[in-house]
Amino acid sequence: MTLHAELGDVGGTAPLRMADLFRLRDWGTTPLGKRDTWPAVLRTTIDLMLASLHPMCLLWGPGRIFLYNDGYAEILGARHPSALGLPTEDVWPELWDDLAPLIGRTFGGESFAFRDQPLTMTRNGFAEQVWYDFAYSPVRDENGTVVALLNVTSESTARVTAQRERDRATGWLRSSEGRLAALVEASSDSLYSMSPDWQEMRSLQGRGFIANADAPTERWMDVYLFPEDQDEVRGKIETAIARTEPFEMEHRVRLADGTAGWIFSRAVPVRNETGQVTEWFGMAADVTTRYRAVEQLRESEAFMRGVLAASNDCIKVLDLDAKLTFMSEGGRRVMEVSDFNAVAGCPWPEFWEGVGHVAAKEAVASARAGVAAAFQGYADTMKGNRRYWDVQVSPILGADGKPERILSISRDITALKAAEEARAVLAQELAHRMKNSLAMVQAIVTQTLRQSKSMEEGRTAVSQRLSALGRAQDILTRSDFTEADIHEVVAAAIEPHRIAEDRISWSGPPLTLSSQQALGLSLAIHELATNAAKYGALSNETGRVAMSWHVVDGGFRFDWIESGGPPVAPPGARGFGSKLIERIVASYFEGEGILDFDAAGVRFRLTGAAGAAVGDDKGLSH
Amino acid sequence: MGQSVHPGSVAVLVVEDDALLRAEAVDLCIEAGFQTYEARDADQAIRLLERHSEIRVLFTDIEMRGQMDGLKLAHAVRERWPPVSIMVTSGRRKVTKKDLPENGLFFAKPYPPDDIVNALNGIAAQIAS
Repeated sequence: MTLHAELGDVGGTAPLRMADLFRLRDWGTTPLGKRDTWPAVLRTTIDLMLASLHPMCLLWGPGRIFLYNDGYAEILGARHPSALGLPTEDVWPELWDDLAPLIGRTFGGESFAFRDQPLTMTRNGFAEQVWYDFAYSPVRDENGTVVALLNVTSESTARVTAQRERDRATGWLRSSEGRLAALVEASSDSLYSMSPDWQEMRSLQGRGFIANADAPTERWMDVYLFPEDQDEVRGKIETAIARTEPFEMEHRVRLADGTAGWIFSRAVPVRNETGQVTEWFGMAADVTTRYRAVEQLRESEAFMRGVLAASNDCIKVLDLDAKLTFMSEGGRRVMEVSDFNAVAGCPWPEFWEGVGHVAAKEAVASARAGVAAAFQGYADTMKGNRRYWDVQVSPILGADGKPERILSISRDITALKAAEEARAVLAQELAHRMKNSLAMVQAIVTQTLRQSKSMEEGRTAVSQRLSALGRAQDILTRSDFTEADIHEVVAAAIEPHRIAEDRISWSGPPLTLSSQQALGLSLAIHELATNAAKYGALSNETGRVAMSWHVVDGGFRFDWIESGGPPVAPPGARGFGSKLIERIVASYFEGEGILDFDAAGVRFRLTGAAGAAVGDDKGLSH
Repeated sequence: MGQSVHPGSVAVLVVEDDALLRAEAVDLCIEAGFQTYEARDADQAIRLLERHSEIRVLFTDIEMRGQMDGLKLAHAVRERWPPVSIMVTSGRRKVTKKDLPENGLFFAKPYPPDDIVNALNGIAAQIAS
């Protein structure tokens, strides 16, 4: 009977169970002999084995006959079912050398266990790696003699796989930790660990730039922070603790050498498996150099801003299209710009009017071509106040040496311009006055000479009259040639004729005379005094001259009264002196002059309008 | 006022607001033999011209008080009294031919007296011929 015939009897394609194989096998042809001849211990052990779900095999007798159950059939793979009843040596020829001693010792009464033995199995249609535990134990007969070896196995693939997974994960974790440690070691950043409430610093590796904290300390704030910075840092820490968010801050610290430095510090909360924060772990980078550079830049910028703000020049930066991109604070002040946004981007030449507009456009074109230019012109401030500016326009060169932007500096020279214009006006005015004076001199000279009896008389009269004119001019010079006080005019005019302190007197209120009035009154006093010295009150030892003037209701009156002189006789012919006194001077006062040759003394009365406004110099009224 | 000894009885009107300069200008014209009138401003000058048709020469300063300065006066006179010859003087302004009525003469102050006398004689000769 062949095995296949047996299979056909069972029917279907279902695998034969080991119990069937045992039953169908013709044991009589094997060393075990017929089943009913088997000893009780063999039968009992086989029954136990076939009933068990654990893979088991039994090695019987000195022949080590190989018997096994369903579970073990899977381990045998292709060796099943032919392995049943073969000597073990033939079932596992490749392992026999290793197994034989162990098997022998088991038959000697020892037990062995082997964990996680690898096997390749094809139980699911493909080769797969599995692991089994084996336990060898001796099987004894009723006499206590070892007659067989029972190998009880169990699959440990799941455990081994899990273990391997664990091992792999642990290995990865270990290498990952190693890399992290290397990274931390390679970094120059300081590392620190804080208690959950930050009261205690557990450790700090200063990395040279700040001091180490090797033992936990609660004084860390005083060690690392300056007193004035502590509140701010504490505030940030409290916020981070309250929100359990990373702490992040750039702040000042005390460096290892005691000086101030800056760190960028960042710490994260570390939680345990229940989610509780157990520590804060942080890193701090030394940013002192960067901070100082930034601070220096900031200082330098603030300095430049201060310089720009302090200047009253209007300093502007234009783009190459002449649009305003910057205006200094001082510039906004002088240009009366309250909001730079209102003018930002505006084309700068549009601020100029007339020739200034053309000049501004030309200056921009020149600067764009790399050549500085300058011009002057009128432009209104933003509040509409007209100003005259001195403007410098120059290119701002980029790194490539080409004009990148345009610098325009305008200085308000309105006052200077006005002074210049005033000076020009004054120069013109002086030229006019000079010509006017020369015309007066010419008139005085020709009038004098016309009526002189001799060259000698003419020479004396001309020089005296011109010096009287000169003295009056001295007074006018002090007031820009426009006006003079009557006291000064009278004193200066009479000065050359004063022979004794008490013989000539004058009185009257302060009064401002126009330049023509001052010159005219000077000439009149000079004529009167000259006449008095020749024929009148000043020609003897006792005569007196009293001058007085009054202003009543805007009317002016000047009196010259001689007394104590020799008896007066009217002159035969009226000369230029009389004409000057009576007509010319009176004309300057818009009034009249009356010369009275009273026998008791010469009297002169000039009446007219008072004040510089009357008879104001014609030169200035035009 | 002196008597005119000049043929044709040409009279001159001096307009000058400075009394001293006016007195001298008047004396100069009289000395040259012309009948001479004087005025201190344009208003006075026009009143005199209206009354004295023998005035054939206007000798006026430019800068004067009043509504009308010497140049305006000169143009007004040329308009109303075309035959009157115009002589203008100024210490302030540079006056060109364009500013003056046709054939007007300008003398910068201070002027040489002979220039005025020569100009007056030239005008008188022209009128006489």
